[in-house]
Amino acid sequence: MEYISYLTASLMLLLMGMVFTSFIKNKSVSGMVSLIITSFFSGFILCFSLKLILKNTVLEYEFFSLSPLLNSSFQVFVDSLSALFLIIIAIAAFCVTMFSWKYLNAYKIYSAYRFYPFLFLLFISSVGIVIIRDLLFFIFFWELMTLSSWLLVISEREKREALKGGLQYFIATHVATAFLILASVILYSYSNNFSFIEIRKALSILIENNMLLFNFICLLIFIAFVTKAGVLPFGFWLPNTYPQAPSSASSFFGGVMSKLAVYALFRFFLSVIPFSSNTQIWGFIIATAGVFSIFVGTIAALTQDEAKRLMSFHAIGQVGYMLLGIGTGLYFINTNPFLGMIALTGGLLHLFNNSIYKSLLFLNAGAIFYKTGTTDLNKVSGLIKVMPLTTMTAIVGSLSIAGVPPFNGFVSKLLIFESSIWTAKISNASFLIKGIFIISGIISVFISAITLASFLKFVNSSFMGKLKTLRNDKKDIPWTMTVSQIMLAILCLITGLFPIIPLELIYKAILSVSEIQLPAFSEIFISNFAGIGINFCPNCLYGGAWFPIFVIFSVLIFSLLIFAFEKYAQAPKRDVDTWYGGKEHTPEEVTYTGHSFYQPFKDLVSFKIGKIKFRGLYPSEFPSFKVSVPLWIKKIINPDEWLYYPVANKIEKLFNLIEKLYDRLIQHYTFLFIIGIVLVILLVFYLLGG
Amino acid sequence: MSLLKKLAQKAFKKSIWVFHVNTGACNGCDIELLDILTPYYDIERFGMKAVSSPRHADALVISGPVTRPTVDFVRKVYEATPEPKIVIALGSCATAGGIWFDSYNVIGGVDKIIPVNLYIPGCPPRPEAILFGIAQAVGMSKKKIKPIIAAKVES
Amino acid sequence: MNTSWIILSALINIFVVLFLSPFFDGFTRKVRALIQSRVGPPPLQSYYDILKLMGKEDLKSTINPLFRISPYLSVISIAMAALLIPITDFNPPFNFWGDIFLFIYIITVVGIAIIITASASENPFAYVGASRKMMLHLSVEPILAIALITGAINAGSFKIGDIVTWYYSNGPNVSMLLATVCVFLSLQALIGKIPFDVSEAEQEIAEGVLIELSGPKYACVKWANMSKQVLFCLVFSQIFIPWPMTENFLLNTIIALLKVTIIIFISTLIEALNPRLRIDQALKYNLTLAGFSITAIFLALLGV
Repeated sequence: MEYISYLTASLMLLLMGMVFTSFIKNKSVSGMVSLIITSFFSGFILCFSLKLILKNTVLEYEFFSLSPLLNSSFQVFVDSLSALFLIIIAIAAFCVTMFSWKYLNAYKIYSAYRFYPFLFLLFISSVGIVIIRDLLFFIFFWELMTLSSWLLVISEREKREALKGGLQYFIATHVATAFLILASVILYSYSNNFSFIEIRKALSILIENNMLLFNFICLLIFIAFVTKAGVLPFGFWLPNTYPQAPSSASSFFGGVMSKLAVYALFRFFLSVIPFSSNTQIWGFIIATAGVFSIFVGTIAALTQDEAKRLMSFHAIGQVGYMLLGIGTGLYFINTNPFLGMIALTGGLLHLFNNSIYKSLLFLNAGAIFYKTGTTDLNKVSGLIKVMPLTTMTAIVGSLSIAGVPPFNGFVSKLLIFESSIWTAKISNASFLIKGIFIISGIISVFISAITLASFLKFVNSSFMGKLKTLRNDKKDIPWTMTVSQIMLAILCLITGLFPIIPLELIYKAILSVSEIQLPAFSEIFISNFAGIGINFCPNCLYGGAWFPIFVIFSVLIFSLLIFAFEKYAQAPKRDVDTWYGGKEHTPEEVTYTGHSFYQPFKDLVSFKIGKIKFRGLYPSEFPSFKVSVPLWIKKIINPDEWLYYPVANKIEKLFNLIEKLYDRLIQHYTFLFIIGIVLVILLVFYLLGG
Repeated sequence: MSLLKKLAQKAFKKSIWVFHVNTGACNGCDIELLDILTPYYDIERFGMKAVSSPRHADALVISGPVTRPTVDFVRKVYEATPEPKIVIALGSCATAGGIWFDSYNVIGGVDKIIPVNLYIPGCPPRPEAILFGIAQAVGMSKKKIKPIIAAKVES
Repeated sequence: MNTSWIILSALINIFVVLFLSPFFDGFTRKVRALIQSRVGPPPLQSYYDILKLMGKEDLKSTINPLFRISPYLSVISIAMAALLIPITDFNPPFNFWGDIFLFIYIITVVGIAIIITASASENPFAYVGASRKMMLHLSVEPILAIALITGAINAGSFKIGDIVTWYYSNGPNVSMLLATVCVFLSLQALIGKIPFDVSEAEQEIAEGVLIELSGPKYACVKWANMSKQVLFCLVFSQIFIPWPMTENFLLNTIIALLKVTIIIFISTLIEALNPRLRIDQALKYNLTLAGFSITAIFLALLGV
């Protein structure tokens, strides 16, 4: 078995890295060691998963079994979907580690072993979640991921906000894990085995006998994964938590970790839970939850002034897009496989793209932090003059997340929009359902304009404008940080220009998971390297195709023409000062801060309900609330008053009395002693004498 | 010199955009300048219009004597205007200081600070006088522009 | 649909949108002058303006490379958007399944280019303008998107060409008429003219986004703004009022030009007779209109 050796080798590498970095205190040495280890790991995993997908095979392997104790085994199962996620993990892990090497120097206080071992643990657990096919070990890795990411969040534990965010994260995700454990216990009681296959069998029996319990299990699983993915209202913890970790770690959180929850949702609802009429209901619920978090999360992001917090809100919004695609797909995949397939592909493609540009954007925020010591958009400006390459990558990332062609967000958003609007043409769906799906599509079109607005705010206020004072010198950031950003930016461009590459990977992934009959790739998409065309029904004609290459080509021709035109006009050039109306101003006086952007729009979406202030549809501050409890409950929950103190007082008095026996003079004791002896002798004589 | 450049220089005369600078005028000249935008005089028929940034301007219309606090501003606005540009001194004060020619707080005419191409005297100059001056500048009337810069405008 | 037809059609589109746009701008200025009982500039005045700006000095107030690139991007993206509009035929030269979304995004790119130019110029006035421009964009784009989606639902296709063909052959229904009215009401905001020229308010923030531009760069942005006017009037006249359309492409082009002239005349009337709105008023107007236009989609779902 050649594949399994790749996998074990990469896992061993990660374990080795974890052990090594636990003993190295020096940041640079530790960073270099982990970079070397991670690059080997990423190489192995990329090689492994690409081979697996291209050869269209599946890896199944059982490491060990807990068989006599529990019907559970460490069962590795890697199909194309898992391989797709392994690719994502490998790319993100490599870039994140490369970025962290020099980036950690920005933190004066903490040492390397607060960071790298947990990062490796996070990598291990993410790989574990993706490759496992056993619910018990799935929960084990899930919990491992939560713990390691929590440790990364509180790695800067001197800060109060970090502890606060960490606490929220800990509680929220553990409540979610409790839901998952409850679901697994119920499932185990029916299936008597933790393997996904057995669970699927048990569920298909359950679906006929006990519909209510089946839906309850679905609800538990839904809440558990959606909380981790950060879908509102369950993902309330996310914007407080992600910004607290070091930027490279938050990049992995935003790029991969929250996507793994979507993976779990996808895996469970598509391959573990059998198809039934309930799938439609759950698809609808997933889509609605997605739209809700798109709308609220992104509008809330527009009102944020802190770069990483802004991106965290966008993480919520972008997960919403994926859930909209996946939900629409689940709703329609049985009745109309073409539409369902396009929606599912759109959702997963968005996930793939998102993991690239989200990691990139968090790394950009990290670069800003490295240079200026803050990510507050009101305090930084003009950074293009010291880090031009980072600025370019930030613009690429921002345009990708907004879905501007020809970057990669465009194709996936196109698929999601089209699939949700195409529901209008499906005859067997009810009017209300169609209306809701179409409104979702329109909301997501509107929200992508808002995404663009908030990222233009990020780019404009941090990179453009006058340069303010910096923490470090005026040199550019270290090359490792730049290279990792540039790699991700180039990936954004490539997957945008050749959308057929990720589309084919994703299509294979979906085909490998689902067990119902689905149309082949060539029936839906034109398999052409220059672009894609989409087909919504078996008899439709292709409506042309999206050819990004041709667009780029014509853009290049136009730009050449216009530059030639400008050169031909021979306009002279001169350097001048900025025109403020004739006056001189310092950069601080004339900077238009991030807070000032879109103020009228912010006012429009800020309001007050009762005592809760909403800023951008998101509650910004809660009033401190008090719960008045009846007196007797207070008494009961306070046993000190009526149980402990009275008893303790009694005992204390008793001991005080006993203590008094001992504070006599020695003569008294001798006297008492003699009296005692006399009494004893008298008693003895009395007894003997009879 | 390319064809486009020649065309641009030809077009320069047909579209002169004006940026108005007040260096301490009594607002007499300013009102007269506004008057030429009204339907009665309508300067836009010569392709002229008032712009709000010196970056877009071809002509700087400066009204008022140059007072000491505004010296820097005048230099700055001259620098901020792209070449080719013409500077028009509007009114007696801008031409030579006017009745404040020997005031302690007044430098004098605009030409003491920056080179001036066209003088439109008068206190205030009538709108007809301003039109006449501008007609001279764009070549509709006989020119009385300083020779060195006239070459720049003409060619 | 042969290659030569595509090239010819693309050339006509670019000619109409890019090279005739200064003429239409001159027309606007003439009409405005006549309304104000002035003589007004000659009709070719805007050509002179652009030519003059091309030869003027290019002042650079920043070392930011984006300041140099992005003005050209605005013209380029207008040209790209022009290729998606049907002028010579029912089908535009570039079309693919889903081009309504591409169109919406490309007109966003025009905005992005100007916003990035503004913010790269480091002038606080330009920042104010950029912020307002983005807000205007995000409030007005949903209206156009909803109108196009209404057409897409009616026609059963995401292609602009199919929408036009359907509309031409089936005649107007209630939902399409409603969408047409909504686009007409948002036309001024799409173009960015009074009463919605808040981002370039001359008297208020000194041309806002354009304050720091000079010479060829200013010419490009000016040109892009002029072309935007023609572009959106073409969108309205060719997609939402596609009648009459003939077999002959030259005749079609002339008809399109006549229609655009009429619409620009109406738009100029609105421009000349209205004051500027504040940005918050403009936002509320647009968002209310967007909310209202969702009705069109439900009507289209009902099939009326």
